[in-house]
Formats: sequence, C-alpha cells, structure tokens
Amino acid sequence: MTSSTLTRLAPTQVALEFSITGQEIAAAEERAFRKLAKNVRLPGFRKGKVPRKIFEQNYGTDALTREAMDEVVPQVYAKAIAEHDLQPVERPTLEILEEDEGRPTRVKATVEVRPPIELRNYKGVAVSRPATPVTEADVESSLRALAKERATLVPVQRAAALGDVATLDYAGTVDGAPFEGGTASGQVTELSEGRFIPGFVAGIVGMTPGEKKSIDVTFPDDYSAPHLAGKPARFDVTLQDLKEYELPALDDEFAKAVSPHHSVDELRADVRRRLEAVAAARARRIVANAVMTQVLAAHEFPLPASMVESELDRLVEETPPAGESGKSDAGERRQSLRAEAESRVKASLLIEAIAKAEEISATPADVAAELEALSRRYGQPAARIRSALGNNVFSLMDGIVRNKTLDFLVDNAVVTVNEETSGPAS
Amino acid sequence: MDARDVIVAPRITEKAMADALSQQYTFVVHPHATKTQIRHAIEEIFKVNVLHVNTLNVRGKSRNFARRGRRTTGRQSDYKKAIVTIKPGQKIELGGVNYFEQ
Repeated sequence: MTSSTLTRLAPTQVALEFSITGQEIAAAEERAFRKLAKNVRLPGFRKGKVPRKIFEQNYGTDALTREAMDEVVPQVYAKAIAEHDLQPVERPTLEILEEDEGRPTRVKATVEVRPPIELRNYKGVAVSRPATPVTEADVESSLRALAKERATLVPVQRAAALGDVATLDYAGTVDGAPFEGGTASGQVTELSEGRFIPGFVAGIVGMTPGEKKSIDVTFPDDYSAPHLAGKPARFDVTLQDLKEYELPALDDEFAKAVSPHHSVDELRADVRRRLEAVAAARARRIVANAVMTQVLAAHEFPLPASMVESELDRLVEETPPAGESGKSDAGERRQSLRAEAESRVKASLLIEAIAKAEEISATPADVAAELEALSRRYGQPAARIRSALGNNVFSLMDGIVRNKTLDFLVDNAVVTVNEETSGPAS
Repeated sequence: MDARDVIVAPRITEKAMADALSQQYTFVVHPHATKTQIRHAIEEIFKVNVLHVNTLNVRGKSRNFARRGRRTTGRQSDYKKAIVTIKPGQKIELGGVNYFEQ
C-alpha cells in the first residue's frame, strides 16, 4: 500500500518520500474523532455524544487531521525505515509535499542515519603493552602505608628529617612585606616536598627543635597566585616541636589488627593479590585503549553531524572552561573539543557495529548482575534501583553491550608484553 | 412577519438529531408565530414540503445565584419550539451543512 522512495542526500543523511492514501487518513481520522469526542462537552449533547458533524463545525477538521497525522505519519515512517533497513539517529524532519483538502498525501522525511560501516580487522589486533609486574618493593610500600595509618607520633630531639612531623611558626615576607597566607603559628605538618614551595622543606630539614632560621625561597613561575609567582621570599621559621612516626612492627599482631587475616604472611599475600588485580586491570585498560585506537584508525566512515553536535554539547557541558580566567569564548572551546567529540562518536558507532556483527547483547543475566553491582554500591535493594532507572535501563544495557564488546576486542587481540618499557603506554 | 423572523434558529441537540432521522426537524421560533406561519416560513427557506407542524412553549427555568451573601434569582428566556415534519425523501441543510444528520 504505502511505498517510499529513498534518496541519499549525504553519506549519513537520507530523504524518504512516502505517500499516504486517502483511506488510511480517513480511517485514522475516524479513530482520532472517537478519541477526541470522548471528552467533548457541547450544549445540547451529553459528554461524548457529540456527532462528528457538530464536532467538526465547532473545532474544525484540522484538529482531526492533525491528530490523524500524528498517528499515521510515524507508522508510515517506521514502515519506510524498516523497508530500507535504515538506522536513524535522530527524529526526522517532516515536510509535506502534496496535500489534498488539507490532508497531506505525500510526505518527505529527512533524517540522519547511521553510516554503513564495513568492519575489518577488528579481531586479532596486535598490540603491545608494558609489563606491569608487581614487585616485592611495591608490596612492601603498600604494607608500610598500612602501617603508617596505625603509627604513633613520638617526640624526638634531633635534627629534622624528611618524613617527620613538625610544628612550625613562620612568617613570610616578599620584598620585606608580609603577604596573605604567608604567616602561621603552631602549624603541624609532615615534612615532605611538594606541599610547600620548593626549598621551604629543604630549609627546615636539619633544624633542631627550638631553633630559629630564615629561609630564602623563590616562588615558582607557575605559582597559583600570579602576584607572587617568580618572586623571592624570606620565611622566618621557628621549629617548635618535632615528632616522628613510630611504625608498628609488621607481625601477626599487626596483621590481625588491620585485616581479617591471622598472620602477616597472609596479609602480605593478600596485598600482593590486590596489587596484581589493580595491575591487571590497568594492563587491560591499556590494551583496550590501544586496540580501540588501532580499530578506529582502521575504519573510515562518515559521521552523522547531529550525533557529533550532541556529543559536543555534552562535552562542552562536562569540561570546565580551560584556565581559571575562563577567557576563551564558547565558540573556541567548541572548536577545540570537536575532534574529541568526533572520535567518541566514531568509537561508539564502531562498537555498536561490532556488537551487532558479533551478536553481542545484554542478556537478562547481565542486567541482573549490573543491577546487583549498583545495588551494592548504593546500598539499596536491586528492585528499588530497577524501578528508579525506569527507561534508563536501556542505557544501562547499552553500557553493558559496550563493555562486553570491548572485552571481546581485548580477548581477541594479540597482546605482546613489552618487558623493557614501563609506565603508561601512549 | 418575514420568514427569517419566524424561524429563530435550529435546535441542535441529541434529541433533535435523533428526530431528524424520521423527518422531524426542530426549531426555535418566534413566540407569537402560528403553525401556519411556521409552515410557510420553513417551506420558503428550505424549499421543502411540510406535512405537520407541532409547537410548544418552553418555559425558561429559574436560576438562583448566590453571590457574596446576596441571593438573586433569574430566569432563562421562554421560547417557542416547533417540530416540523417534512415530506419523506427531503432534507433540511443549513449553510450547506446538513446539521441534522449523524
């Protein structure tokens, strides 16, 4: 009955033309009338008993036609979409080409569709990743961090060293004048570089409790307060008090206190296991990124402009303006984020296509597991989460499919571990 | 009296619509119009043959209004209603629209 013709305007944009027959409209108008007349009240008639003629006389035929079109056009449009096997990414723009007594008979819908993606080489992608060994030293430092949480501070009478906790009075001046935030008394701080401007902590190291000293430092050029950046400053420091951390012994007692384990060996093994899990997750992420980069590079297809625009909107929303000045105007920011938005859209289209090709979908079990995880995270029953999600459960499913597809890509990648290089891969 | 003064308006109600199916059309007419005047007026305006004219006077209902503590009563207008039976096969249309047809 209805037939539609397809015109490709651009790689990702099509125009569909379809006609609507008079019978279809008439039937839809009759349905529309029945629906609307139910709630119409006119003098001389009981509610819902108004005949169609009288109804049209009072409200015009337009009301019915409009209501009928709202019903018919989406149906016909959906049929046309199915007929041509299109995957639209947005709502269509409708245009009435021909009409008969105010009833459209030919409609043109312009819509952006997903580009056809020719998949290739997404399986067996060769990537190398840096080795992420968990060394004895890593385990030790984790244990030490644990121990430090339970450390006691004991006062000492000796020269200050890095890692000690000092109680300080200081008064700082720039060009002989005090400045805001430059003066404090009785401030308790751990002596470690990076908390203060360079040179400050180094100047304190070696002081003994009760000692006074003047320390000359220079503010770094990129200091957050612009009027101080790059300026020399003098701090008059009094070291009032010095304490050091006394770490508990790493024995079975300690293990029992900080963990459900009974011996320090068990604790050590557990710490190692956790570190290894973190390292494995990191390795997997590196591999996933590398695979995605390669797969993205291997595919070239046009991106639907509307998807890029809406992704860009989201990015602009998410990304705080660069620099505290916030000077860069909106247009510039948009431009700078465009490449990122494009690659995101490309990645998500590609992942979708791969998921379709590999028939990866979110099974009810997957959804249940995800809900379970959410329920644990928010401490709410899974059923409550489910009802709170409502229709968002579909985006949850999209997320699951995405992750499964990424897993699939990683599992199918040929990974070589590069022993020499370490640190984050590009 | 001119025909248009005799016939005030068609009476479009559920009941009038139903009666129209048996050739009986209902109108509001001038209170002093006679059946003969109504017959001639209908025949002149709608170009149909009138078989019977039945008339009745409708008394307007009284309405009570209570506004800010003051109570007043009002009355709806009285009017004369005429039910005109026309020859089978003929019909009455108003302004090209057949009001009396479902």
